[in-house]
Amino acid sequence: MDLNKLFSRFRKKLMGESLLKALLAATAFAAAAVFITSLIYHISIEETPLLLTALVGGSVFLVSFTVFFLLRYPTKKRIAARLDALGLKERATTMLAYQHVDTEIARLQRQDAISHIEKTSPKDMKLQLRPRESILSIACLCLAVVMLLLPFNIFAAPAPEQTEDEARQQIVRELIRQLRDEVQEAELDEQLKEQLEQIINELEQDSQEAESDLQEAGEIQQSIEQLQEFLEESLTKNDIGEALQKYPLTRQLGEAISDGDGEKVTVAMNTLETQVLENTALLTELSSTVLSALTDSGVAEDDSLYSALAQFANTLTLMGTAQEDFATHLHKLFEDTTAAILAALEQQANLEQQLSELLESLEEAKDQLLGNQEETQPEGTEGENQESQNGEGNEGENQEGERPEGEMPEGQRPEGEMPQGQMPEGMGGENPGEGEGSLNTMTEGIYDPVSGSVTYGEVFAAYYAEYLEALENGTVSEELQEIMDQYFSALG
Amino acid sequence: MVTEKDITVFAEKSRALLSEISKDLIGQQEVVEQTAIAMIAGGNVLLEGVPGVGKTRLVRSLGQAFSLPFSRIQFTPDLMPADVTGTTVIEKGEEGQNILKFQKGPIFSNIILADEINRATPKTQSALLEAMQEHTVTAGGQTYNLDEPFFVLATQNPIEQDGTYPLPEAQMDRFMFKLLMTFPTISELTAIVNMTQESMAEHAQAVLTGEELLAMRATAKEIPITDEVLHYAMRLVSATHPELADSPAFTKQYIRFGASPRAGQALITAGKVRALMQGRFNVSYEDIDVLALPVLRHRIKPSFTAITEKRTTDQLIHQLLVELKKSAKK
Repeated sequence: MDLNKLFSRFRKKLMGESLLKALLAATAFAAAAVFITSLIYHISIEETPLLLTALVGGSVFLVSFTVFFLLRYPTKKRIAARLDALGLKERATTMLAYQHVDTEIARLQRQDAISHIEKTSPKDMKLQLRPRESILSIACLCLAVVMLLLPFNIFAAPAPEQTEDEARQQIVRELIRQLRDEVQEAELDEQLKEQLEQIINELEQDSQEAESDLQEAGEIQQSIEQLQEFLEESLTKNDIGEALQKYPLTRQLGEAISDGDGEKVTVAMNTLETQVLENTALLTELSSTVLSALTDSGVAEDDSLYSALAQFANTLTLMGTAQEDFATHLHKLFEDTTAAILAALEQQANLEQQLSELLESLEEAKDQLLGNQEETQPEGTEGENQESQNGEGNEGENQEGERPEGEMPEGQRPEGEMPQGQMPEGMGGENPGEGEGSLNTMTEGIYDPVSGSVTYGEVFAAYYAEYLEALENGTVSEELQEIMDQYFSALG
Repeated sequence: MVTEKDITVFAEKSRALLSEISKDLIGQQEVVEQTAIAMIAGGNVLLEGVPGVGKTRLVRSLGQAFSLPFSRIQFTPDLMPADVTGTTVIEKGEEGQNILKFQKGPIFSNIILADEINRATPKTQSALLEAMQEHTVTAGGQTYNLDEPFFVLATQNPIEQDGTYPLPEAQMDRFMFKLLMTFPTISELTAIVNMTQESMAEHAQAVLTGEELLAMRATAKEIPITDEVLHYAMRLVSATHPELADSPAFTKQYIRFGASPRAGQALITAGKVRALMQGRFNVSYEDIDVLALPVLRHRIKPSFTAITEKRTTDQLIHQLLVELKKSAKK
């Protein structure tokens, strides 16, 4: 009797079971491998590489699937045991054990076993899957997925909480580094760069002495103002342009220079050239007009724009006195001068752009510090601070322009709402535009005309910057300095 | 060499034997079947039960069904070993001289009913030891062989303990089975009363000769058994020994002494007979499980813990089988 043929019906059935069991076991092992791999990366505080993890999981799956399938392959012995479990009372197992024994009783036993096996249907064999195998596989799979989804730094020690000082220092350090990088990368003259470096160094030095975010913001505000001043001084196109506009002959050129528009400058210069060619008497007038305008502008002689125009005027003067046929040289002069003006304007535009970037970085840092300050202040303290700033008895609620104009007592009106010329005593000059410490200049850029308000931090920073500048200028007496220090320390 | 005819004869005779005994005994089918198994396998049986449940009747009925010489020995405290084995007497010879002659006792029979065996003294009980194991009797320096087949079917009463002598372990071990005869159910009791109203005599007819019985025994020995089943039976016997390192914790807690190797022999021999009686040509786990109780219940001694927790030996054996199956699944 061919036992393979006898058992073939049951082998097919058990093969599926073995495959399923091997699949479950392999899944569990592969998931465990993925879990361990991911765990190692998590412990190392590194992001788990998905490709490597998939490779590990896949390899383990293939190997374990093969091993488990072979281990649970439905051999004749296993099939016989499963058949006996269906109520054959060890007939199949005995038949298998005595298949080569050639006695009468063994033959009878085989006959008995075969007749019982033939009566058995493969459908009677129920799938023997232990619940714990399935549960284990699912659990391993879930663990692996969870481990993969967990942030890779979950096992990292929590970072120590930054103190206010540390946070401030970090912001300042970052700012200084950023400013230096920007200056270093800027296409500016070495001299300009040195000047900017000096401003940054001063800011760094002053920052170390700041005791609060507000004071630090004040230091930065001071740097902002320094840079703005520097920018104003460096942008001579406005001064020269305005001066040229005062004269009818050079009005067009002046407007073009003020606008910093190269095309307009070219057009204006061409117009002037045409006018001079048509009327040579204008040669001397143009020369004197340009020289007068340059003198009026008050711009230093070493300025490139100034130099270009001064050279142009001087050449024109020479041409006028030479009594020669200057027509041939005039075009060349206008052309060269136009090119020189354009180069100077481009240089200034470049400077403006670079400084704007620096200013932007400073503004960001300042906003960050003021943001910190607002976060650290408990609710309502802003109003209280404002109250102390506005004087005793003034309720902090009446900020942000809520009070109708005219109802605010003198000296208690928020800065943003203060009309020009109505300053309280000691808070600026009579003409707000005159003194550097006037409220008008201090709130310039921070006053929001839409909401009619200025935030407390902005005001503090502006005030403190003014105070620092006054200290540097030596315009604050020692007695007043002590009072002011106490004032700002209390507010900061 | 066993032939198909032998198997057929075995099946017919065993069916006839059970059928004849059932004429005289109402109920107790399991006891009857297991007694028959023991007799075919060549083992002695100890029947335990309260008075009147049919112990003696069963043995008498078996004696008739086997068509074999039958002796009944009523064990009493004053019974002497010589009363069992026989004694040497002085007889007059043909020429008038005095000669010594061994007078065979009731043991010289094929089926011995040792009624209320625990009433005799240990000395007398021990007279059966040699006969039960070696099927020989030694008296006056001479050994006499007993006729085959030879069985001892003993009875004992578990209630009356006054004036009794518990059987020693060596004696107990020589019984293949210890069978418990329980009180009959009401319907069985009714049938018993009705039957005995007609006649107290046994009705069983002789269906089996001694030779046929020996042939059946030889046939049964040829029944194949797989290593797995054999190993299972041996592990069961081994698991009754608390002194063994790999025995279950349950055994160590509840069993004082385990079964002897005779238990293993009995399990397999009886298992083969049972398989054949069931129409099978191989021994199964079920045979071992069913025979575990009669084979082991008189061979293991419960521990003090088991006694105080009122666990019977049957309960202990059941638990052992459960433990064994658990460990087999692992």
